[in-house]
Amino acid sequence: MFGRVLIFSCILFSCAKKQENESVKILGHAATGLNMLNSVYHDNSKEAVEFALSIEGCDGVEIDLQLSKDGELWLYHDEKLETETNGSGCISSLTSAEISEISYTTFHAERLAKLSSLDFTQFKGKELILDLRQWNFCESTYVPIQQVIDQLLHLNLSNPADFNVICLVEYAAWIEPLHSNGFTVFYPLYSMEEFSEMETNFPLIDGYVVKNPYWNENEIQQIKNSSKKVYIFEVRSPKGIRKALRKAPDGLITDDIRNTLIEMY
Amino acid sequence: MSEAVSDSFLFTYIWFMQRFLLFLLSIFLATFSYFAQSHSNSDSKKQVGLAFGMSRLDFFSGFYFSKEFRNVQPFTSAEFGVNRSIFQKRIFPRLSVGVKYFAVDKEKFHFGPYISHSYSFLKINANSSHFHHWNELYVGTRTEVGDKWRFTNSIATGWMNERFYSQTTKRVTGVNSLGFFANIGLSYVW
Repeated sequence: MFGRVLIFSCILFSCAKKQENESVKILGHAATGLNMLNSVYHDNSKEAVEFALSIEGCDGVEIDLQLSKDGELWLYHDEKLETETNGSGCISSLTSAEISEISYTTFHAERLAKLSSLDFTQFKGKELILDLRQWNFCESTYVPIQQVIDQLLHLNLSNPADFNVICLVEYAAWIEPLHSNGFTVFYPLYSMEEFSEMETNFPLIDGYVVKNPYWNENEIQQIKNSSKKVYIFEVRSPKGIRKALRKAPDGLITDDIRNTLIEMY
Repeated sequence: MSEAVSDSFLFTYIWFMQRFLLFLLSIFLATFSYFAQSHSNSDSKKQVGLAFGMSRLDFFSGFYFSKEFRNVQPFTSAEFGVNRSIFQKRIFPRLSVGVKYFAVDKEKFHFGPYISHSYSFLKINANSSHFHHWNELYVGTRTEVGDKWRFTNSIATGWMNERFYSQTTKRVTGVNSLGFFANIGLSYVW
């Protein structure tokens, strides 16, 4: 009797269809999530990117990029290096040679990764969101946008043939130069009022990212109705993932790829 | 060509895993039956219990069984991941075998090291035909307080391996990391 119940339960649960939103793209936040206990690799590491992309159903990753002193883009999230690595200072105040010696203070001691070191063939059919940091945290100055654009163009990321690249910028002054160089540009939104302002001042913007807790389904639909893409982030718990999926965005930038895929499929 | 190579990788991997698990099971059964037979008339005790704990993967709840032989006690447990199995409706079982040794074995206080191997699997993408597999090999400490009814606590850390075949990359992905496990429980000894 117990065996029959067990087999029946297994069939029931394994066949349960969770959501009807298979068109929603699932992307890993900072590759495999920020500050997640179950993450195997440190966020924004090359290993984490490869690991995330190997999970079936993961449609891409979001990574944070900062410009080094000699004009190369590096994957790193925090303002200062000492918070997560054995280095100190800022990415923007060090050369690539100096940054390449730095590693995360984690079990795997992953080296900091340069954007150009990623194997872009693994993104075939997938999406790559580049969160471009505009601020030099050590010198309190803006990063020169032209150097960022030159780097991205050098890596042929303006319009790659077999995967999508989205540039995420928090500094509205960067929208136009990126857009005019052929990049798809997203902007983080915090209110519907800001959405109206952005639509008026920057009608060319391609999409927005919004925080899961602060946006409801109607607001998401309003943005989508204006032919703009909407991606939701701050997605962690199963409950939060379910709520986000019900809002039917174009994509979820999730901190827990595994839980999101379980909810999705 | 690459798919053929990947398939052979997968085949080798499954072949290895099946035999590895059978090997572990054989060792456990052989050890267990040895204790059961050679000391059936001695003061050998049995223990069953319920436990609730957490690891990097999920919260786990389940039952365990062990047979005491002086200070050395082989045990086995069957648990399930609470978040995945209940709240996400995706069965997430975890099976463990191990041995505990009570260096301190008083009437109502038992404490010592233990070693365990756990295996768990989960289908993350239901549209995929592949499971994620985790193997954990931990060492830690075990504390039991009480005589017949005992409050139990285990804390352990060690090697955790995750493996899965990815249809995306057409190969088996395997990654090692540092894992941990801690639980509390209630057991009965007779």
